[in-house]
Amino acid sequence: MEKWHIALVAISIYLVLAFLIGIMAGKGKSFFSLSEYAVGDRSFNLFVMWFLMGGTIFSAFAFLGGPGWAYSKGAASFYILVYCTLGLMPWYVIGPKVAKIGKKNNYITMGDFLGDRFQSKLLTIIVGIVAILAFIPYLTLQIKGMAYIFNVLTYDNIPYWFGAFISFGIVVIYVATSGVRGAAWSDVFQAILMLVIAWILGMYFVQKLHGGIGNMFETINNSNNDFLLIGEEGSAMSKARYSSNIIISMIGFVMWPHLFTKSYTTTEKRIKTTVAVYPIFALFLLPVLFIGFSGYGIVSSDQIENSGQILPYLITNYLTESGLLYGIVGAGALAAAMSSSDAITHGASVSFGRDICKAIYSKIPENIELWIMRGAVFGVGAIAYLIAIFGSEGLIQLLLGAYGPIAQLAPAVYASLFFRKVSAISIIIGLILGVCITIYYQYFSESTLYDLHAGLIGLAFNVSAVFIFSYIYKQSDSEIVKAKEFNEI
Amino acid sequence: MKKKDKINFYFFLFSIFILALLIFPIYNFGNRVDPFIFGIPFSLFWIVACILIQFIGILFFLFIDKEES
Repeated sequence: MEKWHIALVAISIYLVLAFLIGIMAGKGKSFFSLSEYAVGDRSFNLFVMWFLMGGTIFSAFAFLGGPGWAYSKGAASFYILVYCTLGLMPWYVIGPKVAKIGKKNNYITMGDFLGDRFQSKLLTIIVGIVAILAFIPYLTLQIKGMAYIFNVLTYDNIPYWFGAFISFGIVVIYVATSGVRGAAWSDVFQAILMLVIAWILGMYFVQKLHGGIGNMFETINNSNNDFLLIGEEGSAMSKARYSSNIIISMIGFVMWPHLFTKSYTTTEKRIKTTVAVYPIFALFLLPVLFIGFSGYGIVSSDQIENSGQILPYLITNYLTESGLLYGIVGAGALAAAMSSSDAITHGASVSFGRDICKAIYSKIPENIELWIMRGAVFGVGAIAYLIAIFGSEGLIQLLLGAYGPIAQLAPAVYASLFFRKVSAISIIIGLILGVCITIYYQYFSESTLYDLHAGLIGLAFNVSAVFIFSYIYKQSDSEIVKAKEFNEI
Repeated sequence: MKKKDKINFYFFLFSIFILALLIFPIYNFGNRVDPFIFGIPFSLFWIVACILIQFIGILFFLFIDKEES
């Protein structure tokens, strides 16, 4: 039996387990309830919430991209830790409010929430479209990650398209059948698996290649004094870019539309506790960065095509003893990609059903809406899969920018809860302006102002527009009533 | 201001405080390699320390919230 056969068996066992857990999660729950499919009847406990939130963030990017950043950009990779730490903090204040009003008025998406506050179907549809445009590239990345892992760890014996087809296919099936509960319980399993593997790998590589963490960082520091710093001559990132990246992620993180849907799965109290324990997830990310740092000075940059390959390279070159270990690593990396994609696929399906279909044809009965959502799991899944496998590199780069504009939803969300005077039209103008400015600086402009993050510049225009147009266009009567309700929740 | 809003406001200030510690210009204090603490450079240790402070801080807020309700 060859080594990759053993690896394949280990990965297959993982896939079967993930599939069974995802399917079993929905057992005994109503298959025909929209509320169960979308928000798990609003009954999730802290344990499940933490993994659901954590697993969603800890994606293929963290597993493959994290080490890549640490390896190639040094201290700039600390940004990933900071982002996870700060990202969820605003949720402590707004999460409980969103959950409370969502329960009262029976919302299941962000579009529901904003559309009702500003009494605008148009806004609901815009939010739905922005959400899906952001979800698809995110999924595409995860699917590429899955395909890549399968392909590398089986020495090219499993073709690119097939590995992704199997692993993402499993996600699609358990999300379509068990809804958010399937995503949540498989995340518990997947998150534990990948965290354990990340720590083992991190410690192993640091010990084997450098003989300890202290030695490793001293070696790195001796070869480049600025590598472990931000904004110095030999550093990979400027101070302005580093700081503005952090600010924009603190604003944008909680604006992911699926987060709203997830916060409707639980109670206010549990949301606060989840925010409290969330920073611990960031600490679990440390060994992922250590993996990347351990490659510095060991793997020269011409040995790999791009920095994202550092982990697979280390595994295939320095972890050669056992096929089993190999397979377990593969399972961990797959778990990271799958636990993000299940929550996102679910979010996209709910957004499509509620924010787009239901907003356009409000007469759709609930059971049809549920079937639309289940169908959308396959639809969105198929689109993301096709782009991941057949899309050109340039197309994927273009799509990746699509989730930059997510942060532009922030003024709408904050205004809905804290600023009573803000009107629907000003929010829509601000949102569109912010998105356009962000896209301009992302794709068409050579450089940004003071090397700031494009989204932050868009946000400045967005907020100004909301402010100015709220004075010009006043609220309608029904809006005033809603503004009061949201403000006082 | 209601008591709940007051707690939220203090939480907001606390978030800004943690944010400020982690970005420039204040991160200038943390942005150096020496001394190495537990084997990690000071720039990374600073971030880990902030994460712990944040964790303890939020626990404190949870505690106050509990008292209130």
